[in-house]
Amino acid sequence: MNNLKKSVKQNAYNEDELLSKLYQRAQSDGLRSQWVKPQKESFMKKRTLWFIGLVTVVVLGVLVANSGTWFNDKSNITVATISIDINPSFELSVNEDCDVISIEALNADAQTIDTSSLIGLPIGKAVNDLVDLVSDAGFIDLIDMEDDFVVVTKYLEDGTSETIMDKLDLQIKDQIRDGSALQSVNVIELKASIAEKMEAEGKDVPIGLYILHGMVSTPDGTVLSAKEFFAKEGNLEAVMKQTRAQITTVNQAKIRERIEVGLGKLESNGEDATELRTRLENASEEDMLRIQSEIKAQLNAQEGNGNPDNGTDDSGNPDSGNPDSGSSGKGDTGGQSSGSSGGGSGS
Amino acid sequence: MRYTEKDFEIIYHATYPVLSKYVFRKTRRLEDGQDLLQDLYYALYKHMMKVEAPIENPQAYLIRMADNALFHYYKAKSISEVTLLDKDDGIDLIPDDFELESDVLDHVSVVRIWGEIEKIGEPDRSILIARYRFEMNYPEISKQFKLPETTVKSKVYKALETLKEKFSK
Repeated sequence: MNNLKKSVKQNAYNEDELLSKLYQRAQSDGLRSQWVKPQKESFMKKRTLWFIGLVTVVVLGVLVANSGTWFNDKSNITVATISIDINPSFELSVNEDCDVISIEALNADAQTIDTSSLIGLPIGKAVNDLVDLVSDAGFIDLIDMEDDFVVVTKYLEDGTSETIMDKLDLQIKDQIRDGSALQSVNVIELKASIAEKMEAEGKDVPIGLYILHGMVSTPDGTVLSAKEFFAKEGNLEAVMKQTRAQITTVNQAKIRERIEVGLGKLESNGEDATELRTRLENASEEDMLRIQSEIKAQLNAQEGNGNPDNGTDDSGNPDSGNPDSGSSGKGDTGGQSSGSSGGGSGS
Repeated sequence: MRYTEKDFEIIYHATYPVLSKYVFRKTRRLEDGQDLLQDLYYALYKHMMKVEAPIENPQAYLIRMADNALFHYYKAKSISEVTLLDKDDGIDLIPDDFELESDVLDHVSVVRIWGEIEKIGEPDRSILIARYRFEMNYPEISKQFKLPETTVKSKVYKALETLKEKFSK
């Protein structure tokens, strides 16, 4: 091979050089130490393993002869993963019974929440209870009049049957309908491919947010939290047009509940809410959303713009520890709510 | 079953020839293609660290990932795959064996040669990479770059002549 060819081969798409750079990158990200180490086996260990293997075969033979249940324990094998993005972001791994076997916190805010009580729960219940935990931690408020968004992204591990996805869908939908926490938020359900999952991991972006940002143009490439994303005008409408997204908005009963809380606040501040209460009595969903907007505006006017205590929009960094810092686009939330259908699902 | 880093390396070397060529054919600039390729393998690296179920067809996964990544690449750069309009350089008589003459550069170090190649503009540089890195023939290169075969040959010829002239001084 002459030097010209050598030069091009060494400098363009060099296989070893790229691998070396990849390992450096993994080293600086602290990943290399996280691999499972291959075991070096000594001769004694090999002999011991051989003996153990022989005993195991004998035992297995006895068990198989007597019982058919030994080979059916798949309770700790991950068959699917459900990513939950609010901010914070979590990843729940489930087994073939759709019970949660592990939960990973994907950002700093998520690490502040203890999710150990959710292990072993059916996925639907786990997601509902997780939203409760997130609310208790102060990242969202289920009873204020700000719209909260929960992005639920499901993907199956390679080789998993589609019936598992059907089971996941059913369980989660049941909780969206009946779960106390999920009824109070807007839920966006997505399904991801493994390729998308790997790509999102490569970019260190939660998979749900990665897919959402792919649906709309973000010229500066900033990844927003779910709340910030849907606070931007037009984003919710853009996602609603996508057939791969299923959106279930807050149901009417919960909207009414939120309005009652808002009316209570107005009255405790000395405002006369009689007219609003009268209108609420026979209000349609559209009327309720209008009333909600008016109450929000009045509360904001009472306590001043940009006061976090008013429950104004969160514009904080997805990775920040303060979910209610500052405000942005107060009017946007009202716009989103009025376009949605409470308790229904759109795609 | 959990993967080890060694497993990743095996898959990397097994899939690299196909994937690198695939990415090269779909990106405009060498730097973009190399960055994208590294990102793809890094994503695979991180995935293999965590996953327990075996990946049945890593190459297919990587190609699918590449397609997703390329979609975003085109979107971000506002690039669409269009035919390159390029006037013929008007070199009519290119010797058939002109590439044999590249041996005259053997007295020059690979580093210096690459230093000069880097100065060559696109798509000429990518055409040289197609020819000498991925060993594509002229009909293949012509199809990829949507240029007549004669134009491709004349670009390679011109590049070689430029290099010979540079290093003959």
